[in-house]
Amino acid sequence: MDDRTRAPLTALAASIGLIAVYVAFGGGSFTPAATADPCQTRDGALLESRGIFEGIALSALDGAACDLHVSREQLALALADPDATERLAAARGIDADDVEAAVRAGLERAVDDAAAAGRIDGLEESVLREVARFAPVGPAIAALRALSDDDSVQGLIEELGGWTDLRVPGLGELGQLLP
Amino acid sequence: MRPQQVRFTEISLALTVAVVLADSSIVTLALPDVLGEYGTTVFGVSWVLTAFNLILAVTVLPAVRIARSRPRSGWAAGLGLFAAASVACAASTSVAALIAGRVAQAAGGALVVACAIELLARIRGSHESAAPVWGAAGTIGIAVGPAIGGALTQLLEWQSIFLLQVPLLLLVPIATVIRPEPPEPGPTGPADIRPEVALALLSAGLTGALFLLVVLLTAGWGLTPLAAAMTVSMIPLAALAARRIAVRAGPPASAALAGCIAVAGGLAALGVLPAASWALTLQPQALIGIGLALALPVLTIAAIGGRDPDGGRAAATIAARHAGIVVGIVVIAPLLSSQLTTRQQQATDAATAAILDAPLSVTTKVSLAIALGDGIEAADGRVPDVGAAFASAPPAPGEAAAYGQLEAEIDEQVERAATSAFSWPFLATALMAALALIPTLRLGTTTADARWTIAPEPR
Repeated sequence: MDDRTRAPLTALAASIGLIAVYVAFGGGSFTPAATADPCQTRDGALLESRGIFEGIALSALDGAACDLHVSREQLALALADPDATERLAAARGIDADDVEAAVRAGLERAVDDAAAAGRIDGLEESVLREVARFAPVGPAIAALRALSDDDSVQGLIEELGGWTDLRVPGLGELGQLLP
Repeated sequence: MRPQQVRFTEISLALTVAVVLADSSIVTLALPDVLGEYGTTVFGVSWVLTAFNLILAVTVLPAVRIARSRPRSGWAAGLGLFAAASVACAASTSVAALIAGRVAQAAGGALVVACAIELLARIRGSHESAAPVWGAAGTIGIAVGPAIGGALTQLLEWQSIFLLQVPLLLLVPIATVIRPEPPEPGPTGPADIRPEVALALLSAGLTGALFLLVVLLTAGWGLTPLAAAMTVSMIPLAALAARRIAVRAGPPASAALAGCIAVAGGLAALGVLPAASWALTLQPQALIGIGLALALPVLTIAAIGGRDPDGGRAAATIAARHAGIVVGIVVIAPLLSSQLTTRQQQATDAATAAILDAPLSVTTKVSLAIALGDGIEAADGRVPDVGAAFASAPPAPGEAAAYGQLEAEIDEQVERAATSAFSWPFLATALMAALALIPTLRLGTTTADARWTIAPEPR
């Protein structure tokens, strides 16, 4: 190595060495935490561990997200407020009603699955079907998810009653059937 | 003039050059505060830097004409405009007013810089002997600017950066003691823009160190301006320490090549940081500082040495360097903005997934989601304070372990996403610095070495 090449080669070696060490320790390889594929069936035990109603809400989100070709997380964030729902719908080239329809369909399928697996009784199934058909989907999903601490249909109806904008025909009559 | 008077006058002139050129980078660490105070965007606030460098680059060459005919009054008028504009910047109530103040500051600063080399030439006898003092003052100013600005922002407030420049006006009387006669014209030679092109590309790359790094440290990782200022001091310290290496680095042309490689390598290393840690930025910064010490003197001397009869070519190096900084900011600001948007969405999705799947009661999850949502909104495009969001939504009894695990998981995701958003912008600046190798290589060994040899030593 002569005088003219020594300094450039030393600088090159130092640069490559530093970059190589950083890359070896994971530099430049950021991958965001994976979000689960909503079209894949989730572990039933995992859903049950969250409580019946939260499990149904998560399952409904999965089904709707699969139909809409978005992640469950994107859909959950979009249901947080009407503007976010509109933004998601616009990004998918559909309207907000389509998003709502997908969530209702997802909720009904989740209720079907839970009933078929014997995880909910007839009364719970009836309440949930009424909710799936008539309740505004954002508050309904939030209400269901808020019930993991109280897995009773009475708790569900009380929770739903707390949402002033819920208009579910027959909910009052169903409530009267409770002891 | 007596020798002591000569020394004092030279130091005073050099000080004004250093302060003016420090302004090209001194507000970098104050930008997050400016961003928060005026509620603008990252791209919008980048114009606080861009406007100054752009106007300085555009006006410094025309200012040379004034410097030739009226250097003393031009220097005093430039200082007056610079000081008045500094007061306007400190008193600004909107980002538009701040940018307008920066434009006026740059116009005054260009006059100061152009007239300062003329006055130094009248003291030293020629522009060639004035150039090393003038060039070193500018380089020191740019290098220490971010650290000083960060310290002032933390210890006082960002407005103090501008107010503390006003006392420069006290130096105005020294112009009267400088002889009015211009120096003998120096030798002329054919114009060669290759060193200027190399300086411009290297300066464009340096925006990675001057702009990106401080934004990453403060807005990305949440360091205080003072801590960030201490961290970015590594570059000027390394440059200072590397002066001995520069002397032993072989022929000047080789030193310039080595410098460009080191700056590009250091910037590329900042683009592949393995973790969100200030300590990991020190090694790349050291490489950048050493690279600057090797490349800048050789390229500057190659640009002006022996062929600057009236100071115009020295001013051209300033124009080239600041035009390079402008190009760098204009390229990387939108790139950074776009990367931040993408990574923010990914981090939000990851945090949502983590919260949805966490083994916590829904009451806790809802409180946490609301607190994090508020945190993201309050951050207004910057990285949210995850710790504060978790602190404001305490867990239910028995959930502390899962809660702590969730916080660590989300915190790591957010920090890594923020760090990753800076990767491509850093790599882009590394590419710009690497492109400086082309004109530096084409400069050839003989030309640069010859110019290095003939550049006269300061008296």
